[in-house]
Amino acid sequence: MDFVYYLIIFSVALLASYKKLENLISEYDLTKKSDDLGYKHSHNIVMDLGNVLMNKEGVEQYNALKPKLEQTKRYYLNANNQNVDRIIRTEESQLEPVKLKVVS
Amino acid sequence: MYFDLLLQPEVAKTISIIIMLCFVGAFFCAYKNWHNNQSVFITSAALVANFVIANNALYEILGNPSVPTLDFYLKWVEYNSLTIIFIILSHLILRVKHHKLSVSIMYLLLINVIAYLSMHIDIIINGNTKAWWLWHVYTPTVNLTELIIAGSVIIYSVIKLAKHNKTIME
Repeated sequence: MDFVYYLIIFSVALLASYKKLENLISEYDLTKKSDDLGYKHSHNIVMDLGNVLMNKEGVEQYNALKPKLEQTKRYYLNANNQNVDRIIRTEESQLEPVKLKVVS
Repeated sequence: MYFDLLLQPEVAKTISIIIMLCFVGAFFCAYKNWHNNQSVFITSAALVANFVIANNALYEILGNPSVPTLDFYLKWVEYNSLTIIFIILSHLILRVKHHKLSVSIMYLLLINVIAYLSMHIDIIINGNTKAWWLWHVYTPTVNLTELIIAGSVIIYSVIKLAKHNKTIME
């Protein structure tokens, strides 16, 4: 009979905390993938920098480069202090691709 | 099971079979909708297993009804609690997000658990033999809850399937 009461307590506890458990598991899954994601993110930053350096010149290049360097600085600061994965989830706008300029 | 509103045991038996068939129907509807919503499918699979086992459905259909024992209500409590645990753990293991319907079904199951437990405490532990308001509330609560669970799964799955078919047609 005690077994039934333990079952009830366990089911109620699970029902009360299922959301937290779900979040914990998804966080765990994300941290497992964080290395890949981190590499992707840094790859995007380097590609953007290369793109600006290759396709823009002068003041235009300077203006385009400045936010990218700021983004690189933020990435460095975040990756140095905390999980890389967090940068991707909180700063999705950083992943926006740079529009390519047609070079004649 | 105490049936205050339904004095004949045949009626009680018929209702329990109808409820069980509703759960089987809900399971098939959820199976058809498996790709759109896995959470509801897992829930309905757990529910159909629960009600077929707990209801002694095969004995009922074969005309060999089981005799209620002292742990009758406790068995239902046990099966319903196990269903809640199974639903949550399977969602967590299979990395499926809980759908709102699954969560509300689990809360409805918890209402049933409370109803069964209160009946067990009243009849078996306290040895009460006189009907009072709890007994009158118990029968409609348990049956309605079960019908609502099965009905909501069927309605949800049918609506989702209809929407899915409409988008394919377009």
